[in-house]
Amino acid sequence: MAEQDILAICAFCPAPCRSALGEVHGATTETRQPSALALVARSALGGRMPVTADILARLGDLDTVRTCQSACSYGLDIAAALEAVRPRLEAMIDAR
Amino acid sequence: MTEIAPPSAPPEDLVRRLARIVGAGNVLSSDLDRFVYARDRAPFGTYRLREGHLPEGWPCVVVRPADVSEVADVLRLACEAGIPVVPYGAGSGVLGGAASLGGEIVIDLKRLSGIIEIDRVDHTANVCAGMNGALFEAELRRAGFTCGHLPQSLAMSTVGGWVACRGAGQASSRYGKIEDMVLGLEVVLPDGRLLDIRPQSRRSTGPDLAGIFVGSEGTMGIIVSATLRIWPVPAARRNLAVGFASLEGGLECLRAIMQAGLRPAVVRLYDAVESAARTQSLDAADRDLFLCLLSFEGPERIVAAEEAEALEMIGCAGGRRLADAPFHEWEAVRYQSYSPQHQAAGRFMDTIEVTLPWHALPQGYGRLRAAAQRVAPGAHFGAHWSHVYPDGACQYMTLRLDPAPLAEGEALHRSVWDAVERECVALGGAIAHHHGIGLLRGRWMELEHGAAGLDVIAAVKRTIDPRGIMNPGKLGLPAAATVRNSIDG
Ligand SMILES: Cc1cc2nc3c(=O)[nH]c(=O)nc-3n(C[C@H](O)[C@H](O)[C@H](O)COP(=O)(O)OP(=O)(O)OC[C@H]3O[C@@H](n4cnc5c(N)ncnc54)[C@H](O)[C@@H]3O)c2cc1C
Ligand code: SF4
Repeated sequence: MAEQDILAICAFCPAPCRSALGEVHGATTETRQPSALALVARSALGGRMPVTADILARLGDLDTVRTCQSACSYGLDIAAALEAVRPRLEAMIDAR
Repeated sequence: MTEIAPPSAPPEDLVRRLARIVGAGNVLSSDLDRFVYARDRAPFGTYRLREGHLPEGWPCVVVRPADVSEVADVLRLACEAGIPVVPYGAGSGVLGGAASLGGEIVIDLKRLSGIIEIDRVDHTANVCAGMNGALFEAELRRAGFTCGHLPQSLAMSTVGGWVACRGAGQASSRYGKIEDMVLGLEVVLPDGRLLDIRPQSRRSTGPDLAGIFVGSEGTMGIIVSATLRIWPVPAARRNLAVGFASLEGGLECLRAIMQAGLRPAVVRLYDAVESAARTQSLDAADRDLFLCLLSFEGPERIVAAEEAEALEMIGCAGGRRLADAPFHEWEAVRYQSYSPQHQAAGRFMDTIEVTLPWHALPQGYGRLRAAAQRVAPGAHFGAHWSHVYPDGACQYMTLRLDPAPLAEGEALHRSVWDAVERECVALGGAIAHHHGIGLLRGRWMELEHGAAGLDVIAAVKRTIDPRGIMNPGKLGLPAAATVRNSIDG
């Protein structure tokens, strides 16, 4: 599956993987969840959201995404998908 | 609808004052955080997000209180300043209850987590409202108990969200809905006062105080903890997959089972569309049947007796036992979502769950399907009955409209909802069984409760929340003139 398709599924998924966070669940913000980062990346790639330095930094914060991966209902590797689209996002910020 | 272009940053003074309460690290004021917290899982919000619009508006700021006193201080500040707030659990609501309309303080409650106490004598658990459902159940299991409330969204939701939405789990036919489990609540009122509704098994002390907050979807106060009934982990469990030649036979049989006093934990009867999708692994002769999954749990001898009794009733209704595969296939995905692929593909997918009395079933099934398909001919329509009671059942319908331009798809989606909800009330049913009202269903609240009924709810709201700061615009309640959503105008 192409990264864009993986990110689209994750962006609209209600995040059953959040239970993998266990004790740190409460300490994690929604913004660090895979579904949130997938939505942000998808919106930015589609030109619907400006790519800023803050957004790039947050899209690189993948600890929560990696922790959730073991509980992904669809067996998707969102961290890998986010890393794969990163150069395109970096090019978008460069172009601004 | 708001484009994904943020309004101005929250006022610095507000951020500073909030930081003094919850700590600077727990005030999220960046555009990115506000964007992420603007949504819940309402499909209508997803249709907009995938096209580059916010579901409704931008929250002003997000805060993450750690305890009850921080929640109280945040509400006190919001009340004094007249700033609306949105309580936020895990954002798994599907009607826009936790979505922002614009300018609110979103209060993320997930730091209020953990079980405070398990009472092994009374079989109750006192739990913080922000605790993740799957973690709550896992911790109870380790202690030898189950919470009995096992929604499909178990891992995606919080205990406070269950109570606030008046939810139902997949074992509701045995353990009840969440309102049957709530014995006590701690609620922070909009002015910051703590209301402690002490847990009691039953009382005769005037109207039910907890009932004001169960199902209030954040419009009356913030639930910070709940005392819930719990049950010992069942010693035995037996699962059944059965098939009926007719839907009428299946529904009649479920009514008979419940009215005979059997209490299956799982009951799931599927219509032809949903049965076809779940019987692929069976012999060809069994694939035309209406599939029904059942499970009984509890002490071994009672489970065996309930199963034997149910099988006899199933036989009398023209049903028969099938191979177990469909049960196991359902069980493997029971806590997953079926919708992301469809939403990603641009379809307008949604679910509508209503309650119908038995006397309105099964003709109600045909009438609700016809109502939906009159508006959207050819749309996917499937239904099942998975919360059944001695007096009625929840009809859970899945709709899928083909990809279309946003305005067209939204209009069709809204029309289907309108047709189904109106027909449901005409059948004597309730417009919502467990997903709640949020934003989308507000327009049918008067149809459900009548003008006088809605006035009573609004009057209670005005008394508790005279400044109207609690989740304005939700639950079909009138909001201040400054708060408008694109659903109701
Ligand atoms: C795939 C999927 C399956 C689902 N299956 C089920 C199901 O089987 N059964 C079911 O009942 N529901 C189901 N839902 C709906 C949803 O999960 C429930 O409504 C759930 O209870 C919401 O919990 P939450 O913590 O995510 O709440 P949120 O979505 O964050 O909030 C829901 C509403 O409650 C309010 N709220 C949240 N916490 C509090 C609090 N502590 N105090 C006051 N107000 C609060 C919010 O303001 C909002 O109005 C499903 C949803 C999805 C996406
Ligand atoms: S990682 Fe998997 S389970 Fe989690 S939100 Fe994404 S698609 Fe859903």
